[in-house]
Amino acid sequence: MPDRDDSFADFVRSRWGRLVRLAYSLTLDLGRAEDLVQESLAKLWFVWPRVRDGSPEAYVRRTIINGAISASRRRWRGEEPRWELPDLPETGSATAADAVDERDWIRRELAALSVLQRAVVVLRYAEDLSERQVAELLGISAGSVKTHAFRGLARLRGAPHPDGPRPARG
Amino acid sequence: MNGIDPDDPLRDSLRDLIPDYRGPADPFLRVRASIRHRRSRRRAWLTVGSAAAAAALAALAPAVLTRVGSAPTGNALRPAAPPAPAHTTTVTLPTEPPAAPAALPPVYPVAHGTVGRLSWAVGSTSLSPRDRRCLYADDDLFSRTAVCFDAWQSGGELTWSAQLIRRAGAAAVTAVFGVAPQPTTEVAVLLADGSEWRAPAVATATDPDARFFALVVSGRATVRSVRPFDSRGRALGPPVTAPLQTACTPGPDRACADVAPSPR
Repeated sequence: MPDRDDSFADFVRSRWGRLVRLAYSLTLDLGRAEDLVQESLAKLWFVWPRVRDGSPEAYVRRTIINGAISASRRRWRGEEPRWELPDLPETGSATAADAVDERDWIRRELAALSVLQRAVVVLRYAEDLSERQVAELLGISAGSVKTHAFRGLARLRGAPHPDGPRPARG
Repeated sequence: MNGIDPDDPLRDSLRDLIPDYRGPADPFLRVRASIRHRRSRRRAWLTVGSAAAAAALAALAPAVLTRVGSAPTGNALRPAAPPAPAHTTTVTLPTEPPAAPAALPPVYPVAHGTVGRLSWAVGSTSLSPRDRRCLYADDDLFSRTAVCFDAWQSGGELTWSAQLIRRAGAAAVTAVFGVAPQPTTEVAVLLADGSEWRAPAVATATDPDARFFALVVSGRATVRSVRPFDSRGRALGPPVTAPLQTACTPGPDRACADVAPSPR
C-alpha cells in the first residue's frame, strides 16, 4: 500500500518533533518520550485508513497521553521525581545559563505534579487546548480539568524560582 | 485564577522544555520498525498450538458476550470446593517490547469484543514459572495488562478478579477476569444492578486443566458473583461472591472496581 505508507510517512515526519515535545512534557524523559511517540505512531498506522481523513493527530495525542498515564501507574516504575542536572558549561553566557536554570526549574516542578495535573497544565497552557478539549482528551470532567489546572498552576507558581519569586497572575 | 496570561513566562517555559531537540534524521524508520514488531506480535496472538489451538479457536467463536435477562435456575451439582488460596497479581508490563518477537510467550485467545468504540482482546499466557496462568491484554482498552492467578490449582474453585478500567477519552468499563476448573464452559457474572452476563470459559494450551474467561461491561459495575456452568447449562457450584485480592490501588488516575456484593 504505497499510498498509505507515503501519506503516513509524511505525517510522521511532519509531526514527530511536536509530538515528542508533548510526550516529553508528560514523561520528562526524552528516551521514554521518543519511545512513547514511536509506539503511538505505530498504533496509528494500523488505523490510518480510518482516521487519516479525520483527526489523526488527535488520535495519536490521545494515545500518547494514555501511554504516559499508564506508565505512571506501573508498580515498579512509578513517578520518580529524579533529576540528574546537567553540568552547566563553564564558559556559557549568562543568558544561556539562565535559560538552563529556567528549564531545570520547570522540569523539576512539573515532575512534582501528578501525571494528570501535568497533563492538564501542559495541554491547557502549552498546547492551548480549551477546558472542554482537555476534558474530552483525558476522559474527565471539565470541572476536574479546572481543579487540576488550578492546583497544578498553584504549585508551579508557589515553587521557589531561580530568579526569585514569580508574580502571581491569572 | 484560572489561566496564564499570553505573555506569562511560565507559558514560554512550558513550551520550551527541550528547545535543542532535533530528533532522528528520519523518524519514520523508527516507527516502521515498531509497526513491523507489532505485526509480529499480532501474529503471535494467532500462534496456537495443535490440539489446543482447535479448542481455543472453537471457543473463540462464541466469545461474543451475550446478555441474558435473568439468572439461570440450574441446581448445584456438587458442594463448593474449599476456597482456593487467595492470591493473584495484576501487573502492567513494561512498554518496551521484547528484543525479538520470538521471545514472546504464546498468547492463546480467550475472549474479545468491543465496548464503546474500543476493541479489546484477552488471551491466556504464562509469563514465568510462577505466573503460569495469566490473562493478558494489550489493545485499545488495556495497556499491556496481565492478571495472573498464581495460586489456582487444577480442580480448584472458580476464582475471579474485577477491575475498573479508565482510558482517557473513553467511558469507564469494568473488566472481570478469571479461571475455572473443567468442565466449565461458561460463567454467569451477576452484577449488583441485577443484570447477568454470560462469558465462555475457554480451554487453552496455557493450562489444559484451566478454563479461562474474560468479560468487559460498560460503566462502573459492582460484581456480585460469578458462577460456573457446564456445556449442558448446569451450575457447577454455588456463585463465587468473593473476588481474589488484586494489586489494584485506587489513585488519582486509577480506580478499582466494586467487587464486593453491595447491600440492598
